[in-house]
Amino acid sequence: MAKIEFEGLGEYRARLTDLGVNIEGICKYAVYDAAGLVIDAIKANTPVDSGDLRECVALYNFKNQDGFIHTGVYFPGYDRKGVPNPIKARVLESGNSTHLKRPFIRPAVNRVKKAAEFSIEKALNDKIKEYMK
Amino acid sequence: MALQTLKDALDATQLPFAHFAWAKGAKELLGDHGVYAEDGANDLYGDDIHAEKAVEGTVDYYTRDGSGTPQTTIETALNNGKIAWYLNSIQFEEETGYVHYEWVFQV
Repeated sequence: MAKIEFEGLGEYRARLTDLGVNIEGICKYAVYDAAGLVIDAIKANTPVDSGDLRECVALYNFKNQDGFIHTGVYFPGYDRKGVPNPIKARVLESGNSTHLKRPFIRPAVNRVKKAAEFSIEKALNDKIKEYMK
Repeated sequence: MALQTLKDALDATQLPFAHFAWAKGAKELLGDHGVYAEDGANDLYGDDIHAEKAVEGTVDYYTRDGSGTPQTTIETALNNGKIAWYLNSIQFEEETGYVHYEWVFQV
């Protein structure tokens, strides 16, 4: 009868356990990287008047919802004229009956979607490899 | 002529639509009105070329008709024109009383 021997299974198991404990952090790291790409694309696409809107683009805190790591982009605060940035962003993105729209979020997100997905995949692969070395 | 498909679909609704913007003063005369505009692409790449081209943009309709009839008319026309779309937002403008429907399309 053939005999197969495995060595180092204990260590392998310990690394898998370690990976399991830290997986949320690893996922957040990967999403954070990709979110950086998306924010940069939105900033590059933001119409500039005073530049306040471009400066205020920020990320929501990360949220783990049933194992899915979420974040989002928002426009906090007010510009130097006291206009709320979220309203300014909304009017630019969607327009209204008195203002022409200048969509800058959706086109930017569309443009970097594939790159962001690739970045998440790469970051996850790299981090998991590090743990399993 | 992908945009022509959209234009034909919107013409079939018999609702007033302009490409990008209305001439000054026209909207006020019309009352309920719509605008369509392209703002990007979602092409399919293969063999280092744009194998299939798609234009993405938005259709906006401003109405004081709260019955939802214009919404149904426009969505039916987009379906009949075999245009990919989703309803992106419905907003109410307090100052003008308009309900603003916004669809994102791809043709």
